[in-house]
Amino acid sequence: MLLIVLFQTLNTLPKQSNDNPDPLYRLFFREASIGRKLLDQVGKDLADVVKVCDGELKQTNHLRTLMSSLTKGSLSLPLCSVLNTDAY
Amino acid sequence: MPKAMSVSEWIPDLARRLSQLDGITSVQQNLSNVEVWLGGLFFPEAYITATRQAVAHRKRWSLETLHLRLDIGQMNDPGAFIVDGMLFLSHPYRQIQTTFVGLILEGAAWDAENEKLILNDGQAVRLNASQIRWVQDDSSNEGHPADLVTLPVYLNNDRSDVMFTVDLPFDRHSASLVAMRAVCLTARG
Repeated sequence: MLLIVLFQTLNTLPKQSNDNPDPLYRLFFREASIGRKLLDQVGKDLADVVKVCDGELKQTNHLRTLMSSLTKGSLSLPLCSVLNTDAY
Repeated sequence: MPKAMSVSEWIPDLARRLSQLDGITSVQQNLSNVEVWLGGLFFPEAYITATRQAVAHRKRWSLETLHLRLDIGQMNDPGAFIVDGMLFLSHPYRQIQTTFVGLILEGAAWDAENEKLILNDGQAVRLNASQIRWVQDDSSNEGHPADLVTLPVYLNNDRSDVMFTVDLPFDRHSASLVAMRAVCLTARG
């Protein structure tokens, strides 16, 4: 369910790239690329969890932490570490 | 992100953020006119800085002389930046949802008629869409006007990250009450 909601949003983030002096343009471009990166990371992590559950993938420390925090429902570091910041 | 946030809150929150970015990036031109859910950006401070740079560039003013003004509930200046209001979420399966996102005023309410803050019993009040303006402050030598109070705008109600501060009009006789009641604005809608 989570995967469906997220991946549907993935394709709709348009990519723009050229040099633009407008600070707002650069800001939103940066925001969009962070969002895309974050979404990719979350999607990959969740897909990996599914694979681990199916026995197709070995657990890593990253996935183990993620899975244990997912079952507790708390936010884990792996899920948001892609931002390299804890403030947003 | 707030400390107490759970995964089940985080996922829809992320979806809302991406939905906003999706909406903004599809506009492509005239980005200064889009309404922004400030708390929904990954780096809201950067948005404030970007608006500052944009204004300085547009009006050929020096960055240091610019001062931020927040007009609550007003959107009448075409050169201003509109923060918060309603976010239109396009959901893949259901019809378009609207969510109220906006600045939240804690510990006080906004008196739109007299355009000033009034203290309340500590409830959080959701503000209407507001505009951010950068003005060149010529009167900076005269000191702080007595009927303005400086309020912090926090990222969320953890109150751990201050994004910026705003001066808002308030009854001059009870200005110290504002500090005692810990009145503030938070950006997470």
